[in-house]
Amino acid sequence: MTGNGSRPGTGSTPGASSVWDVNLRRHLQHAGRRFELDVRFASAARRLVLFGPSGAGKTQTLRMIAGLGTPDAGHVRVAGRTLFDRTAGIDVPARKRGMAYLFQDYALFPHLTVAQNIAFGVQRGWLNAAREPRHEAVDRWLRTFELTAVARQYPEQLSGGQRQRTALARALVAQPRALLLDEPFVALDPALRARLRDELADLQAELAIPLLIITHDEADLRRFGDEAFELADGSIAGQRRRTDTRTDLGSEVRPVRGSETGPACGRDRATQTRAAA
Amino acid sequence: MEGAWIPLLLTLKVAAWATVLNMVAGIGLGLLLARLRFPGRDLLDAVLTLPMVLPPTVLGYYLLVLIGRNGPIGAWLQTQFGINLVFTWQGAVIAATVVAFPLVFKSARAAFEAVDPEFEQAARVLGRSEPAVFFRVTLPLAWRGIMAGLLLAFARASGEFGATLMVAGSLPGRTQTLSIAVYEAVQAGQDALANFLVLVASVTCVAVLLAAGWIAPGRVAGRIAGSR
Repeated sequence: MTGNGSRPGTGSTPGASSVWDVNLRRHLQHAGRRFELDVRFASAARRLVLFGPSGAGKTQTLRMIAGLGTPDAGHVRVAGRTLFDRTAGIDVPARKRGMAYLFQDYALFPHLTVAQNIAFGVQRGWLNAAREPRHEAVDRWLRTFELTAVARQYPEQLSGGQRQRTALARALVAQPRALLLDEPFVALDPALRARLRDELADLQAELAIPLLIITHDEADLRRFGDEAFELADGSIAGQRRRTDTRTDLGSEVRPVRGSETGPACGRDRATQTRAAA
Repeated sequence: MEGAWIPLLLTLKVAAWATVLNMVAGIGLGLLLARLRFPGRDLLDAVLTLPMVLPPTVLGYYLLVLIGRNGPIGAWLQTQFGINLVFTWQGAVIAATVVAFPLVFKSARAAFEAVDPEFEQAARVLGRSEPAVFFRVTLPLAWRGIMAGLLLAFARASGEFGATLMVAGSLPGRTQTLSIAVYEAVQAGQDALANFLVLVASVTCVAVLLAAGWIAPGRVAGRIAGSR
């Protein structure tokens, strides 16, 4: 459909220095529900937010960037590396993409301790790490996230904040190229959210790795949205860019050029199915 | 009474082999049917479950037809390797394995289907290969259910009577397992021997259940008694 070089939607983004270059289409059908996903965005932002209501296709998009789903068409490039390109026949398997993925409910391995969970990303082979893994990197992340005291406990014994830190440590220990977060604060109580948001922002600044958050929470958008795309009914419906760090992003919404050419029929169908659901 | 130990040891040997064989076959086929969708999957599932519902003597007859001297598998084994399975303890292992197989297969399939795919996806994103995902995530998470199936299979295999009698017969000291020895003793009017054999069998079963509780405290035994 689109040529290799074209980057629809965001003409203002410098293509060469692009951190995120995502163009994916997928027809989803699940339990009688049909959904057309057509997501195109490109951005040079180190901290990018994809926001929109639940059911808009955010998680599906993130999964395809991580390699947990295969688009029907399009391409995915992160930090200059092509992870998927239908026309070029490239589909890097999830295990080789070097993406850190934080699942909404963290997906901590219930049969492994905190230390073993964190060691999972660096322990090679067909066996899990010993109950007390001897990895310098694991120890360092345990200390960084103040998890040393609970290193031998199992996920079900942890508080919500400890769970999130364990999942983050597990994702970061293998030195990923980018960090993908699926509603990272939704599972936490509100008091904890603000604190962990600050922690994550500091961490990202320190590690200097690209970060992409999907969220429906305006607070996440304000904190991490150097640039943000709004996703609605399976396609990009708007874009917000932070010009001044103190500006509230909420006041600055403009439609994306590409979205007007998006498949209107697909959107209609998605709306119908949402109404039916 | 010394005659009781030989059938007991033979029974334990046969049941242990049957359990090991079922561990490989049951986990393999359970995983296959839990994960792959292919035409005829439901039919294959039904065929693999058949030994649980067929009368053991019918099953034994099928096995005789297959592995007997003139059966397709039996004749092939005879000409290729000079192996004869009928009226041997290995034949008893085959019979016990087939009879107990659905218990492992069903438990394994259900256990694999109960593993949340998100854990496997998390493992993949963390850079692990498919075999590593299986051995480090899928199998450990399904293990409790599989273990319960294996224990039931061991119990079923050690109590096997009908199919074993058809395939391996009742040769004292060679293929006469505990449950067959009990039957023979009663038939011969040897009440003292029958009493002793029954006692040995009962004590062995209690020991197995206790061992199960020790291997996986409160879980396997609870599962056998309870939900599944």
